[in-house]
Amino acid sequence: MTSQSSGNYLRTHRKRSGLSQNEVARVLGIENGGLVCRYELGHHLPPLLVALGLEALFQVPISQLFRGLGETVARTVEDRLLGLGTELQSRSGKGPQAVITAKKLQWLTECRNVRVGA
Amino acid sequence: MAHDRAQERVLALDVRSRKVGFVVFEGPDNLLDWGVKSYAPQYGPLEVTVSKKIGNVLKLVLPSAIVLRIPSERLVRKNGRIKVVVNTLRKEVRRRSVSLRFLGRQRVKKFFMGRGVTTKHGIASLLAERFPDLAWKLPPKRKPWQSEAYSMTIFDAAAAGVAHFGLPVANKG
Repeated sequence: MTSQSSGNYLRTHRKRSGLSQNEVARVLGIENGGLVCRYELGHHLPPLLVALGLEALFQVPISQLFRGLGETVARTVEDRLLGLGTELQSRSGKGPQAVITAKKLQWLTECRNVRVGA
Repeated sequence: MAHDRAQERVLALDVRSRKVGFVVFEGPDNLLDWGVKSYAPQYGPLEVTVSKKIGNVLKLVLPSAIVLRIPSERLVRKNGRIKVVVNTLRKEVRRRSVSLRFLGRQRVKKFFMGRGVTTKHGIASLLAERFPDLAWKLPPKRKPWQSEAYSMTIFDAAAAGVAHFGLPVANKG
């Protein structure tokens, strides 16, 4: 796994800021610059709090800092949503269960429309 | 070239006998990374150091093309260290199936002459204006008795990268 090749733009934004890895680590309150290096190289993924810290530090959304990963996750979720939709449509039920299934299907359709619109 | 040049990831290198300046472009207007890698004798055997240091950059950015700014064909043949560096780079490039393009100093200079700048510092200033990320690396204008600033090689690499995007690909060589 490599950094910019897999769509990790952490290093680019850090270099734009002129900060060193140690300085970024200090601001985020993590041990040392070595960890930042591993995040940049894509060897480790930052925990949620650190990721949010990076977003606040560089004023760039996490999905842009880790663009490749963000796109992969979005694609996977999309595929699973499709699978869930198919499964829900195949369900046959009556009474309250059918109402809940219909509600879920309606939400899925709205989600899909929003994505197609975007 | 079949793929979209606007998003082409290019690694521009300025090869010197003891260091190499590099700039990574994603399209002609977007810089991803830049810096200098040194392979001065104290770091160990030249070929190993170059292979390791340039290899790391290649692994990190996975460029689709590499642009090599060389002083001149003659110097590449005559200067032992530059020759080793260029040959090691050729090997790395072959291993990774990346296209390699050589741009001589004169061709890069001629490209920028068309934009009204002729001196090295003039080209660097123009690049600093175009890429604000590099502006703070711009060294002050060199006096005749001073040696060249360490970071100037980054601007030479950037100049080669910009010339690569500006010059037609048919001139590839």
